Amino acid sequence: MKNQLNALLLTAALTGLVGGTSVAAHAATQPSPSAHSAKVMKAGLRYSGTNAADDKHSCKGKNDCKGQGGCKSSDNGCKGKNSCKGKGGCATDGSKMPKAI
Amino acid sequence: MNLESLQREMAAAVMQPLTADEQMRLHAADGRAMSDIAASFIAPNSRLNAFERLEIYNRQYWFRVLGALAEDFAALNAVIGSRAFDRLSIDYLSAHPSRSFTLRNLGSQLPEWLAAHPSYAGRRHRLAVDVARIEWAFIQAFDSAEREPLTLDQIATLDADSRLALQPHVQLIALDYPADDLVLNLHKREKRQASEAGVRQEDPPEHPAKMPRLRLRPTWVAAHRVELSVYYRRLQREEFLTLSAIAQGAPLADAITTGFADSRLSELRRAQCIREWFATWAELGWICAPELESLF
Repeated sequence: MKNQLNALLLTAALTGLVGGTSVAAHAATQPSPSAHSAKVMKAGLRYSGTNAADDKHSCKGKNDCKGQGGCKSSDNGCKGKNSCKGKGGCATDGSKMPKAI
Repeated sequence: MNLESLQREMAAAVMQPLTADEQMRLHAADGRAMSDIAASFIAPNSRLNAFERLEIYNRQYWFRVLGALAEDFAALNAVIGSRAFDRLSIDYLSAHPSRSFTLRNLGSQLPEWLAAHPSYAGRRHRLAVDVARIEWAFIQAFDSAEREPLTLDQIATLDADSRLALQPHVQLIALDYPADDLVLNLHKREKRQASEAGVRQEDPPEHPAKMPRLRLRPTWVAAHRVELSVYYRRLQREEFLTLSAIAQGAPLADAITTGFADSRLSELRRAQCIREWFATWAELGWICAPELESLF
């Protein structure tokens, strides 16, 4: 009885895998808004502001491009002290920042 | 002083916490005067002495890591208030200073560390740990690798003993509270406030944010990525347990058995659930073949 149940569940799992993979494969070959939205509906709740198309700073805070905002502490330690000039810590003008500390 | 000693001295000085008014401390942890330490490897210039030159790096290190941590854990900041969060950040970063080439990894130990240090969040401790775990899971889901999902040809070869794997970006989280909605709302609020404030950076409130009263309720969530966006998907308990067993490398039949241990679902309902879950996971591309090295 237990073996029968396990076999039933295993079959259900494989059936599900085949079905879901087929849907994904179909959506990939024929991309349409409805296929995309069906996938997104199953994805759950979207975390705000993580789409690169929405936000030019989408990676801010999440990746090694951190610090693009320049000195972000209210008391900017580099303000007025020039020893850090040229090291990127004060860049707020779009100039390249170092990627790591 | 050889290069390694110099680097260790510099790192220790730079990573030493600042004073309450954000200056470099006058003495190192071992009691030596920081002015002597600075003078041992930094030359003064016409405007700044050695202490002041070293202090710039000390302050920049802390401003940078504190800012980065506050960005990554904005909801935690709101839940416990910025005063407690500042204290927590300094203590956490003193215990777990930046060790990686990227600030992305800065908060990797925070959920576990916070769980072991309940004083920072008071009555909201368990909620705070949940929030920290969700926010760290988001970071992992955002930039973890994406592998090729299982193909139909590979599925055709599966049997009860087959081992599967999850996409690296799928992060499974078991929570004490249904805190996922709270985190989403706090992040939306923060984004709205930042947008309204324009380029002006407003400090978060010192006191914990007012929020709806959450009741303890075990909640299971997967944070994952679809294209370039991160999503949270609520899971049923059995679904979470099955996915966790798959992620740990259990054979397929064992993973399903593990998932339904202590379950109250009827046998018929179990079969329906399994088919639906596996279909959804496959459609979202969550299921992969295990990497070869994990099999040995």
